[in-house]
Amino acid sequence: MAPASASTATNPDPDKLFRDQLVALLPSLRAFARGLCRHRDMADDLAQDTMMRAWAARASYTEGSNFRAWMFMIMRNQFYTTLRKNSRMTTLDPEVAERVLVVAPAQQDGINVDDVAKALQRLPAQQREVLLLIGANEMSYEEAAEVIGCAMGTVKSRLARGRLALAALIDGPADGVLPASPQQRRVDGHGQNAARVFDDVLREPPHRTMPASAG
Amino acid sequence: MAKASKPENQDEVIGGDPIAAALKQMHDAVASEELPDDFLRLLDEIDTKITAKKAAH
Repeated sequence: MAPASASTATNPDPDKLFRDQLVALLPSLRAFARGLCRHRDMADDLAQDTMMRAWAARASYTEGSNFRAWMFMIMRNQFYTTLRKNSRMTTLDPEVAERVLVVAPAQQDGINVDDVAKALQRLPAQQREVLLLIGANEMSYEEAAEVIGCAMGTVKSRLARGRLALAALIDGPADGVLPASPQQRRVDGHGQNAARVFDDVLREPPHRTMPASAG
Repeated sequence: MAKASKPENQDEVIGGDPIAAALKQMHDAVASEELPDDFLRLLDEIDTKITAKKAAH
């Protein structure tokens, strides 16, 4: 029989392993939350809720499976649960958006990052999340599909529409007024693309059940 | 933990796409922030639970 110390060395504490993986992922989780929510404090609340739910549900995580996808899925589920309860997260308030955006203005190959951040918050959540998962977190289509709980084709479709809408919002109509709603939007130039995309917005996002032990 | 390698679609998504580059820059800006105290407190709670569980065994 192996000594206890050797056993500990070869079989590290699974709780400690889980904790270490969680810590390593926190920066990306906070960034994903910031992209999903319009308010910095809400984003950090979401990230903290996700931490604790994941910890409570750690027994349901299969070691060796995609930890990042599992964590992002929990965050996404929690986001949509909160979204239903809190209309502040869905109401477009450009003045608030201007105040809470924390990314310093910077140029990225001719595109102002601040403009991208503002436009991103005008997209439907389903397009925004795909852009964040693939564009910001560099996930594969497959991993993003696992997080969202949909087919890869759906991910590709939402990504394409999201990029189109984002580009249209950044370019903007001729007078610089962004289409705030399908009723208010201008239908001219790039606005036509944006209008078509906004018409495609799904009303009710798919929801995946949280692990039972997470609640 | 399964370490995700660079996905095949990244060249397609990022390559030459200033929007994707801006999204990545936004992500990196938040990810590089220092963790707020609330997060550190939660991690302390987790550490306490791990320690207590070990002690119980």
